[in-house]
Amino acid sequence: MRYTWKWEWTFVSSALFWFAIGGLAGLLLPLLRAFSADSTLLRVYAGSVTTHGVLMVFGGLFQLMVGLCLLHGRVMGGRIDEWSTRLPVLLWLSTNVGLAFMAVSVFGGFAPSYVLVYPLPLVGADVALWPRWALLIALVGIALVLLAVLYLYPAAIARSLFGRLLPTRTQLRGLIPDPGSLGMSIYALVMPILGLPVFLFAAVVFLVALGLLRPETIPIATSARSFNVAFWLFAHNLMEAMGIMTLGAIYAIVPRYTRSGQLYSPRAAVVAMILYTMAAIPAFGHHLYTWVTGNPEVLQNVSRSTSWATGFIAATLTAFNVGLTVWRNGLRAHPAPLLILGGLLLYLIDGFVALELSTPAWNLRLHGTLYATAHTMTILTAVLLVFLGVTYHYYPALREYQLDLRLGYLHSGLSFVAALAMFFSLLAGGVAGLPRRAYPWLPDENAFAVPLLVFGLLFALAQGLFAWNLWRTERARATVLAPAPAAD
Amino acid sequence: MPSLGEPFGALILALGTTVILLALGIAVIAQGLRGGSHPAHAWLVRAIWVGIVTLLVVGVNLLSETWTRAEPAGTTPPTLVAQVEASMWRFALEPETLPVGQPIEFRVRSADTIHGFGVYDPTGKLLFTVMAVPGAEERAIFTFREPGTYTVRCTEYCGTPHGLMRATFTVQGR
Ligand SMILES: [Cu+2]
Ligand SMILES: [Cu+2]
Repeated sequence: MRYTWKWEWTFVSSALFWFAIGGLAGLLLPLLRAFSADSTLLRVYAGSVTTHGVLMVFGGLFQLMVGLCLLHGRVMGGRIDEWSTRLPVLLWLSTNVGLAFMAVSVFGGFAPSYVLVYPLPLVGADVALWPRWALLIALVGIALVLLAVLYLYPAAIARSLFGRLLPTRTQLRGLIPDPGSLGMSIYALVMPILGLPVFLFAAVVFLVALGLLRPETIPIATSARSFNVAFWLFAHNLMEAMGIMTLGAIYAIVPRYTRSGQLYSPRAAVVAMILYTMAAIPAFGHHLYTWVTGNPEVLQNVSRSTSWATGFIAATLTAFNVGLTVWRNGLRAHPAPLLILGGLLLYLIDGFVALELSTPAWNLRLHGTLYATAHTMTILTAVLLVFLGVTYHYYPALREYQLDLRLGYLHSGLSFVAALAMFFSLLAGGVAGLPRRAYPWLPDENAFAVPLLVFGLLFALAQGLFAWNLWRTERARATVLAPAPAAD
Repeated sequence: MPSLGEPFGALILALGTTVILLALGIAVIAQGLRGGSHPAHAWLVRAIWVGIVTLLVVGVNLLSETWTRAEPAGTTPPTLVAQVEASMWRFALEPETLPVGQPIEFRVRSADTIHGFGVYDPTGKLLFTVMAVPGAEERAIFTFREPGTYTVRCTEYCGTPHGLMRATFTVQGR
């Protein structure tokens, strides 16, 4: 039997590679906190925070989405011509070379945490917290990853779905019955624009770091305030755009495991995704509530109401639509829909905490603590669970072979329970006022790290089962080469 | 009774919504695996759902207006100014002893990178946090109710020793 290499598999397998490294770095965090308060380990801790965040989000999650979404585009009859198969190669190189640069710079001591808290990268080099070469290498890496996230991936989506960069009106109308492609199109439309300011500012900062430009020359790009506004406009909306692609994946895949194969209301799905996009864009100001003077109350109220609208219009419409689809049409047991529904449930549970943090009065008492970490971690874990479900769904299309389903059930159940337990362990730490990304805590606070370590190990065990499943399947596939069950 | 606006209130509400969502989610998936069925009163389910959601959104947001936002400058006329300068990796407070029951305006500045001015009461509870942004001054007004030793901890990542960036100040009764 002949097998043709699917280039999307390159993205998926690269994602698994970065997940493994980033996951190990993540386990180090509670391990260090639970057992040691040694100041010589400060660098190890900060390096692990930086590695964990960057690799999980961009190396793992983003790349997994890229592979599966572009595969979805192809399966849905998208056009791949020669030019567009070269585009994925560029996209892959830009992402992975960029990440390799960042990994090298972390080994050189660069550790500004996974969120770019400007101007720390520059100031850190000035006070010799990390060498200047590590800063420069990191900035090149960041530029490459931004290029992939903001421009190459949107271009690849457009080429894959429409065969051209700008869709025709007929093509746009054709998106409505296919929420999976609609989610990708929204990402491709929104991210190049909302990411442009931070991309340009980062370029100016790079010139400043090289010594070619003085920071006073272009203050709009180099001042802490304007850079952080541009950064959060990008970072918040990147998460939301990934969230919209996730909703698209949920809408597209769950019905295929029901009797009718249809969504309860395809129209409500489109409405939810468009409202979500519109509400999410101005909501980014919720990251800046603790600028009590610099972020006026009017703007605080705009971000608050649009944040709540994102959650309550889009999330409840989705929950209602997907819930009724399953309730009415029944569900075929399979790890794919179970992981996807588990991810959606986690997304909704975490969504309420996100809304709490979007409320200024709560934010002032919880921002900067593990409460915020709980939200960041869990929204990303929810998206991860959904895309692991999509991996089970598309595995036969990718590899012409199916994963072991029984191991898949174990993987999905264990992942969900561990993620929920980690979420509440972090929330408890946040309520106790523990500052995030801080090492060491006060001596009597170390106990908070123990449940994090235990549930983190449980989550890692679940992913270990998945890795074992992949390994077994790939080995069987290589020796047997039996014809695979056809993909949906 | 602790206000819902306290961190503990947020946790209790989060727990409550989690229990409800888990129960609903498990019920939906179980019904699906059993083969599914036509919901008896889809419109009623929809109406109840919309009702609960609207109540929660409007309720929480109206209620939160009564909770302090660590009052931005201008809300209460301050009688005392405290200067705070954050720098890698220390806080300088002037004066270091503050009175109880009197609105104090904290003027928070940073000398280098972003820091967080997180004020903890003597029991270790986080009272409020203000971001210190280089190049701009943040002003927050707060009135202390209890005397004692208060702790300041940095709440924004500011380099490897971020976790060690702490200070204390005293609040004295009249
Ligand atoms: Cu946000
Ligand atoms: Cu600091």
